Amino acid sequence: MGNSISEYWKGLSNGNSGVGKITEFDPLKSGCRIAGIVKDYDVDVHFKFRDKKRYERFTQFGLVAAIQAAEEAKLQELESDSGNIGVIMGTGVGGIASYSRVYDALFSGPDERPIDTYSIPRIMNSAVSSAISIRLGVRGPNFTLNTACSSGANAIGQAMQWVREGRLRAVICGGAEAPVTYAFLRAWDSLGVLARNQNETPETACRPFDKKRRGFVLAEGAAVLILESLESAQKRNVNILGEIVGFGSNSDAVSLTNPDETGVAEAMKLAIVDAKIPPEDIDYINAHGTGTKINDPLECRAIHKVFGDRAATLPVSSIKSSFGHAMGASSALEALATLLAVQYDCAPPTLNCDDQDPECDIDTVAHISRNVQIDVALSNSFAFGGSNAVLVIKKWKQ
Amino acid sequence: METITRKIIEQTCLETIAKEMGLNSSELNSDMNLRDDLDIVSLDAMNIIMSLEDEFEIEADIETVLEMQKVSDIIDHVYGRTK
Repeated sequence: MGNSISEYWKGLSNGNSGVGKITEFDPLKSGCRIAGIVKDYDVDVHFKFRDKKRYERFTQFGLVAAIQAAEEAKLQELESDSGNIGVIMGTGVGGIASYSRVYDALFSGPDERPIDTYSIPRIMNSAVSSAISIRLGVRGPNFTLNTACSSGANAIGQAMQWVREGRLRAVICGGAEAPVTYAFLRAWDSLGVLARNQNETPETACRPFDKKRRGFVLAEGAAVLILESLESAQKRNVNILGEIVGFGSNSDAVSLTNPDETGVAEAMKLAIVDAKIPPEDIDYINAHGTGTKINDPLECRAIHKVFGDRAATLPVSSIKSSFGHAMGASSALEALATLLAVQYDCAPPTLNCDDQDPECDIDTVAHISRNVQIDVALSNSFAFGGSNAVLVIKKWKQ
Repeated sequence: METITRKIIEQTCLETIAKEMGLNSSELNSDMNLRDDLDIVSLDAMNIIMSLEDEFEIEADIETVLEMQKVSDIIDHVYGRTK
């Protein structure tokens, strides 16, 4: 979808698709043979040989995004206060690609081949927050959390709480993921939640809220935000993109794989209460919107529970329709999209919602983006394991 | 078994180090310090040694490998193990 904020927003708001045929490896027996792969990414532009060896692709993505964010936020100005800056990132499966290479070395031939000694630092989930901490020289808490598909949103929410409580002056937060390996693709494919029937027309595969939806496609990417106290940001005169004003995080406590309507609705309510605003103030929802049979109507019912009569007319879109589901990074990418929607007063579209499922009785912003006043928005993320995370993002006004 | 000459071992060691570190083997010589000149840390050294173990069908001594200082230490160790 793009390797910078401006490219990302241009792609989303123009209704572009980032989903294509998998060419990086042969998807062989997988029913789903498409994914949202980061294009035009030249590792040699960003990393020296040494760091290329050291950092798995998800760590590289997180680091590239963090460097962009730090530059925009002029984070180097806080160098003397680096112990007061933390990093918290989310990822679902971290260095899964390096796991595959270890298995290949052990089992793919008649004899074992040597195992790359960099396998462990490439595999470990915390490599992404550690790499950011090392590269940017920030010495506060350094966490990587994993709550599956809500990892990035939980990271951003936790970061917001640290700043709000005055524990840290600033926090680098977000999500990073590069999960598109043959083994992981097959594992998801076996669950029957990947879109299998549109391999020849990848851009139409993910169809949230549509009657013919068949699931999502895997994707990769990263998004990183810099959260800072208002006082600190104003003192430094940096460009404030928006405010994270609410965070709801809870657990369904029901199922490892099925979402629960009550838990999902409660997560939205918790976030709205945390933001100290009435539900009527919410102008837009960036949905979890996986495009699976189960998620979409359940999320719509939960939205109705929370917003009552307004639910039918409140703009709700799923950008997973544009580039797929980047697992632990998806909720960070969606939080960023929500921030941009608030900034530009524009709801990005839900692609491929050609024939809306009556069980998804919401305004899906189908096909094309919509210019609409958005002062406050929700970003919904729900995960396997029942870990829900909802962020409330507000327009910054002087 | 064909005798492996020191010259062959030296050339293979230099090529293996170069490949691991993203360098050209012509840039390397046996007097170079692994850490100071080539930025080789223990993980790199282990990858290099494992490749050489496979190449020459030898078993290196890990403790010795981790104490190596110069390119010539790697060459000497491999040469010693092939004899």
